[in-house]
Amino acid sequence: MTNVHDAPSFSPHHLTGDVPARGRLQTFFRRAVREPFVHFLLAGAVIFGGFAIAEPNAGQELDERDIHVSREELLSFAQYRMRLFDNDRAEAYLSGLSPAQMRELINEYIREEALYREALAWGLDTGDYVIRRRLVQSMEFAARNMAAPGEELTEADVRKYYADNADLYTAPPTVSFTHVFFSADRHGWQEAERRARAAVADLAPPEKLALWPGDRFLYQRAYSNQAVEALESHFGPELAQTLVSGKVAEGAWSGPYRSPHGVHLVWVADRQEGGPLSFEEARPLVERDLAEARAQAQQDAILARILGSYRISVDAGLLEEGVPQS
Amino acid sequence: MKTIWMQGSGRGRTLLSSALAMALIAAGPGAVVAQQAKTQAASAKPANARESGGAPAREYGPAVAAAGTTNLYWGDTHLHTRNSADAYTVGTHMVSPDDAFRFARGAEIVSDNGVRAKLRRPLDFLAVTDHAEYLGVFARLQRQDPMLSSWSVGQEWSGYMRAGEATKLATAFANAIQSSDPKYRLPRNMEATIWADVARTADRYYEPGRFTTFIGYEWTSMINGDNLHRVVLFRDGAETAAKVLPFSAQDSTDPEALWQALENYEKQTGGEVLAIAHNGNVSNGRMFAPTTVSGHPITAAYARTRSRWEPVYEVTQMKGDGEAHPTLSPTDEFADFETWDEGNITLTAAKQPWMLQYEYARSGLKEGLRHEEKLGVNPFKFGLIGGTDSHTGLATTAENNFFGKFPESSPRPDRTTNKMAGLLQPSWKLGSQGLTAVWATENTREAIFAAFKRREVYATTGTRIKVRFFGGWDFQKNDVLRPDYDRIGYAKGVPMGGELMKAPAGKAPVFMVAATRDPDDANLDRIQIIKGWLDAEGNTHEKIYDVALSDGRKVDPKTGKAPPVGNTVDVENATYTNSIGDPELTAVWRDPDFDPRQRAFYYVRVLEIPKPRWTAHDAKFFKLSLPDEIPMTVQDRAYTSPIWYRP
Repeated sequence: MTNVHDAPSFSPHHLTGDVPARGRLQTFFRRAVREPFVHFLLAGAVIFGGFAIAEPNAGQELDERDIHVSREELLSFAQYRMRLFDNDRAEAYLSGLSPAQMRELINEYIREEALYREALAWGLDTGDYVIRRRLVQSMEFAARNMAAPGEELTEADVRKYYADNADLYTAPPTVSFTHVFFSADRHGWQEAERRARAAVADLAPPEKLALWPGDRFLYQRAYSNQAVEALESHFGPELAQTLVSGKVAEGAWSGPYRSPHGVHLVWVADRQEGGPLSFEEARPLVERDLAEARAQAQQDAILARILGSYRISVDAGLLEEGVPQS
Repeated sequence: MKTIWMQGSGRGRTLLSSALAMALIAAGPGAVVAQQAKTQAASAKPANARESGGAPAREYGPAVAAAGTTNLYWGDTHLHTRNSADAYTVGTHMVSPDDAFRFARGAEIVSDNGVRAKLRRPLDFLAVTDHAEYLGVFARLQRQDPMLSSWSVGQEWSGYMRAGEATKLATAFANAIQSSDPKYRLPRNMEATIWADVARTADRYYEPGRFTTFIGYEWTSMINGDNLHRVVLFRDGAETAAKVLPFSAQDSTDPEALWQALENYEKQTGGEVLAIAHNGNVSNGRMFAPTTVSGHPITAAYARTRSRWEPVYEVTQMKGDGEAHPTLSPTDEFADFETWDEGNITLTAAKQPWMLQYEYARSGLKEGLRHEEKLGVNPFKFGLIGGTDSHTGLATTAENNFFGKFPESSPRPDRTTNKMAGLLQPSWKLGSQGLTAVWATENTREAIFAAFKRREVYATTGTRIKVRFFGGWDFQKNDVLRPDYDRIGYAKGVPMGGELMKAPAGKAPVFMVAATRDPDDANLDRIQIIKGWLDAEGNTHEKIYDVALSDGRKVDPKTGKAPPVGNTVDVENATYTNSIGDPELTAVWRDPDFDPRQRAFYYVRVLEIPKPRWTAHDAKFFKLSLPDEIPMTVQDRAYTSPIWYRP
């Protein structure tokens, strides 16, 4: 099975910049993160046009030890928790709470707000790698979403991309065949083999077979343009490899061959060597990939602008020790 | 970006070398052609690529369907991406329909919670079905798409986004979606542009014979929180499908209005479309109710209309399994499977016992017989399919590769202990399911759509259990041993989704079933045939027959039950072994309790042996100790479309 559960891969952070100074940006994040739609805020508002951030609740002084619970805050808290952005439902929900339940909700809100502020005051976010990664990810997503749809792909662009990346546009060898099967489960291996040998002698070509010999196979009677991966689970790795390898003659019955299920006679109808796809064959994929590459490049450009806005200094001696440069 | 039209005018079948055309049985890409480039960005085009509208670059190999045979294709008919308003608001910002198609095709995608994802086996077809209501709007607003700049309501929302006024945005959106004030509707020209883009994207990924994409959307009807959602699928390409706009819940929440809109589409364009209902389990008694949404008893006209537009029903998906309920089927030891029965979809109304009979597929099919007796038409004559309803853009259904419904239920340590949308069900209740299996002559839109309409399809709860099911009057025990048993099936009877009529004197229906395990997954426990019928008094009944059991087990004639297959699951290590169960099971079974005067249906349920549930895989991977109430094993299954009997 694939490693889909691996943590996202990331390159070592070898720039020893300081943590961005507290201030406007951090204040924004502090208030923003506890609001619903936090992704909108980070993704949509932060990066576009060089950090034009609207100052939320402008004019309101932020006293760090005052927590005020308003109905609006509670509505928003409830909706964020629910992730159900329905004001009427939230209103109905709040109105339907008993005094004890309301007290409990308010306590939860206060607890969350106080601990959140305290955590920031303690700088727990700076030490927490998960939070840090999450914010970096959000930046990357924001940069991605800020990339404009882009100009038309010209024919020349597409051809060049195809030429530059020819190794991506290849097809593996494939085979098309039909087969007759003798089940080891039903007859035992020896008898299955004997039946196969007896049958192959004067077996008519598939299109002329009136009565299909052999036993029911678990999967298919015929396969079209299959590469080795698709055949492995049906025929086992050895026979699958043999079938795509070109070792089996085309246009005739051969065998017997063994799979984990029994004995087979095989008629290969066609085999494709694979190899590079022609430009026309690959064109739709090239166009998709090129568009994707452009969007990626735009994202990279935005991120590069961000990186470029920082002044970097590295401790003396580190570079000589062979830490890779950015 | 240039529009890339990939569908040709013809299809693979017409291009075959004639020498092999006649008798070679169709190959089946049951497993997909695994021709993949060595990159995660794209999957390479197979050798037999075709330009649009022209002759192929190279000849197709011998892939002809001999008359009457079909191949097995796997897909998901119900998937959401960032284009859905709810998916976007809960965090699906990156995964677009393009990504969803590429993922289904086998590419590696980074999910919105940052984890890389890839299917073990690519799908053969996919429908991306984002919600019609504000389809694609949030993603465009967020990147300040200039097209939306003249839509005042959108700019207001955009302003809230930029100013960080999230509560105002939430309020405004909630008001808009519940309002009939036209200013809240996206201007039609903008909606048309977005919809055309959605349709063209599906076309771009359509490779006839290799990978089929369907243009579609979801009509998100709820009535006081009771679910009546339908997925709408088009047979056609963008040129036709984009001639109309998706019918949304803001147009109407009554399915009869939706069906009228579908009829208008077909009349206006000559195209073909169908609707697929799902999640009866959270409809609070509405899904198979004997009355319509407007409160009238079902009529023959209603029955005709409903069965015309809704030939199949999505019986299983992440929000619970809808085949059977333990209260309705107390003697069915497998009925309590991923059961969601607390209330409706928003959990604003609790479940009442009377509701259950109108919510579950088996019961709905029985209700259909009852209505057919009175009206002459069966309103609930549906085949069964499965979908994911994932809102991450990733159609994952394997227990060890489950990416959840939202980013919050994508792989992360707390997903087994957090709640869906905070107030709703706990995320651990999500099931890693389901898939649709189709028996079609080829992997094209036309052929798969036709299979839906004749119901030659079935559902699984996430694995690729292969099931062949035929019904007739003359099958013999040895027929199923033949290598071409499927040809015999078509010749002597009808496949799943079909109908038998007027039993010949003295005969009872005989059914031929062959089931094979998913080659990458668990062995099979048993094959069951589930019969429902209507007696002379107008009451419905059901009975389950174990027609094939693994490991040589037999049904105990005294109890009517067979011993359970056993359990090789090691929960702590999230492993199991295929040392029990059988890789394939077959049966040729005659109904011993047949009454030729009584309407009936028969469908097949195939069960796998137990294996670890996705929660057990999580517990192992994230080193968690989970509470006892969370199930750790699962027995995946297939449900075929029924074969009906009409006296």
